[in-house]
Amino acid sequence: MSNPAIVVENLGLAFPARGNAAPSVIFENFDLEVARGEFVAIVGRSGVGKSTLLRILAGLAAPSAGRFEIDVDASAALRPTGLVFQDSRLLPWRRIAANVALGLEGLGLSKQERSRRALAALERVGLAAHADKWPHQLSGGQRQRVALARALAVEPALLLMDEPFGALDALTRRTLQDELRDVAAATGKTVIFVTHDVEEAVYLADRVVVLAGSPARIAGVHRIDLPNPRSREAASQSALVAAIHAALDGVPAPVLAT
Amino acid sequence: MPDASGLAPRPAPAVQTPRARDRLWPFPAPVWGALGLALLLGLWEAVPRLGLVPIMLLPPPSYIPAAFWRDVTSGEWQRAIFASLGHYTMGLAIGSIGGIVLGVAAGASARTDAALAYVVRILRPIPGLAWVPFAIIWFGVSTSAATFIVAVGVFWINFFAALSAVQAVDRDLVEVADAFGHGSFFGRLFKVILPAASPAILGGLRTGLGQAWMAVVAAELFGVPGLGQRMMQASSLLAIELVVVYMLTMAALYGGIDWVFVKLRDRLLRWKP
Repeated sequence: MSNPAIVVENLGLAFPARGNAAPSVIFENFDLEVARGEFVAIVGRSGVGKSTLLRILAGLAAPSAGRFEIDVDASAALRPTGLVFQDSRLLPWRRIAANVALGLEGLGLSKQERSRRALAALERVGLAAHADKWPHQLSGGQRQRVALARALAVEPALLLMDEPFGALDALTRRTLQDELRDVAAATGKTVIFVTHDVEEAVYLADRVVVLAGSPARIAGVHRIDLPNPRSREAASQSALVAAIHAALDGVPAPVLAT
Repeated sequence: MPDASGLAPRPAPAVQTPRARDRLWPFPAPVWGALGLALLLGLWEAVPRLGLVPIMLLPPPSYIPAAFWRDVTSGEWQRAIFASLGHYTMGLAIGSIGGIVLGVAAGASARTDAALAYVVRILRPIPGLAWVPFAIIWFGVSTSAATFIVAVGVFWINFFAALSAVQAVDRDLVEVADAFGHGSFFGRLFKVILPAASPAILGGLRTGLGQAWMAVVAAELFGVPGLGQRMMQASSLLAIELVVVYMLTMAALYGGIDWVFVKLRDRLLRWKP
């Protein structure tokens, strides 16, 4: 693969025994290369370590083994990663525009430049009209769009999304899935999208990586060769969905460390 | 005039449910409040007038305006207020800022918390007024002594409010600071921890506003010029109505300051749903 956006080599995470807790290996020997502009979904059962992996890539946790490298220089990235959490996690004391501008602060950008970029990001998710509102005045779906705008505003080399639609109602989720697909296509962002919803992964991604087992390993990589734009029906009826489900079921469910 | 039958529809304030209105019938709440106050004043006026208690020990409320006017025209009232407000604001500022800074430091840094643990355990149980002997030895009967007592009085309230506020900050929001380039100690502190903790810190500050008045009076009862000292003078002259004047003055000052503070707080916390 030429010029990948991120290379992950041999990444592992283990916690040594501590007090009553047995030593636990969350995942090991994790390799991944993601091409620039590619949309990769990582699916796995709850507790398999998907979110932990994302937190490591976002720099929020340190791996205990291996390395990864994000190609920051080749793009106009202000920060290496932009992270969207499962819940929006907006700062309630900041207005919407200021929430979006959070990652732009401390970079030496002028105030005008920050607010211009924040508004542009809000524009992308269709919420520019709400720039002056407080987070509690928005619906759950709107707040999650703002969280996406906050991540996009830093022009990340890598957009990391941790089950971003998992907490939304089904209807809002469908809308946001379509919006995300459009935004990803329009911006050409490289996306790593963690979900436990196989249909969602097949509908959105160019490639689906299945994580399973304990410690988690890659149990399968599936290229999604559906045409774009995709129809939801074609995605959900695709043989890939069955194949990925099989990959998830083919290994015993992970035993959670207590 | 309320309809005696109670059947005619009455307009009700939007916030009151019909049931609450029925329970208050036939008056709105402020009228009941005024009635209660009038009852208290009437009783108070009647007891000494009827000779049940000597007038010298309990002057009726009708004596109060004259006493008030005497101290206003002599300038004593203004001087006392000015002096007390001085102790109050200085002591409050020093005690609150000190308490908040140390509380935030202990809440945000495990090392500071651990280092302060025993110190806090020893000093915390000492009642604020137990510091009066120290205050007198260190500062004499002076403005500084009163300021010191007030500062000690509000320090712990603010310390513990800030400490628990910072410890209660949502870890998920701190992670947001980390994820968006503000993972340093001060980045987390200013982008997330302080704003998130501000409602509880302001709550502690407000409690301190009331506590500080107690400390002001206590300190001044020992002779530092101000409202408390003027009360003691009036009491030793058996001018009980003057004591009442200063009690009401303090109530009014505290009420006014608290009102302004609440306005300011609501402005600062307008992001709260």
